[in-house]
Amino acid sequence: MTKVLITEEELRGLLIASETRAKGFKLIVEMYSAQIYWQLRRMVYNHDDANDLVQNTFIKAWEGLDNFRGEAKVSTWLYSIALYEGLGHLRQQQRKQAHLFNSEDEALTNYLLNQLESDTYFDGDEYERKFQEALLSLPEKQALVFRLRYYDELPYEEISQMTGTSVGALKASYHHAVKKIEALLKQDH
Amino acid sequence: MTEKHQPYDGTPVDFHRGEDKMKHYALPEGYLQNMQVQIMSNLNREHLHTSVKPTSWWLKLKPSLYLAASFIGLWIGFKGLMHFQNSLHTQQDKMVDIEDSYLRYYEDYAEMLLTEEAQWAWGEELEMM
Repeated sequence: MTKVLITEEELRGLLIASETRAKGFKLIVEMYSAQIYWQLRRMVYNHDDANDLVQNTFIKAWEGLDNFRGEAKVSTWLYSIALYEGLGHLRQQQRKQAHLFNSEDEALTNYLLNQLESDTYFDGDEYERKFQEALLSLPEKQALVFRLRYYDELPYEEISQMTGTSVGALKASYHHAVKKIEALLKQDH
Repeated sequence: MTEKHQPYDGTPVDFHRGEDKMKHYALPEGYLQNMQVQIMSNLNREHLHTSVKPTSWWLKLKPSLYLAASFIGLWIGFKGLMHFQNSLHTQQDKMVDIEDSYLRYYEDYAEMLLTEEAQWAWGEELEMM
């Protein structure tokens, strides 16, 4: 993440006013594009797809600036757009693969594990592969909460704004996710 | 491969921490920097170029100038039409004049023939008398 000395309020101000919007947007690209890229890469398990999705995310963010009222943090707003962009991509792939498997969930898990294996930029580490397999065995919402909490270290309040789920439910969800992954990893040892 | 660290925030000991969480994933050389350039260039091509172009005095004046030019064009067109109509009237008047003098010529000619014939006829009778 590029270090830019600007307050959240100043950044929102730049984005809301039409004459400073382009300048503000350039700043948010500098500040958050790497985070958004990694968020998407962890969802789709492939560099090329993540690259396409990060471009789409920022185009959609620009197009949606008229509706940005600054009620949420800029980063939360961007994370939400990226989240829906990533989920949309996964839904598409799930539908494409569904006929090959017994269920749509199985189709998606297999698709993503293949994406991971075939990604040139993954080093093929066995423990990491098992870790991701355990993560992909979680229900979608648990996996989503786990990623946002474990990798991005987002506060529950921000995840709550993005997903519309209460903080209490998110904490419970994360706790269950951690326990399940831990149990699955121990089975393999 | 298990890393042994002190647990924090409920995360089990055999989970990666900090930057280690993504240590198995790489990026193409200089990717993040290029990605920013690519995002901005996509936006410039599709959106920023048209949305945030600075408004110069020319851009501000352009609509009024177009309006003024339209009025001048209409006025010139109107004047041209009037001129054309006037010249048409003049030509028609000239044609009427020509027609009149043509008719007058034939009237005169007819009158002259009648006079000559009368003179000839009367002349004979006069001579006989």
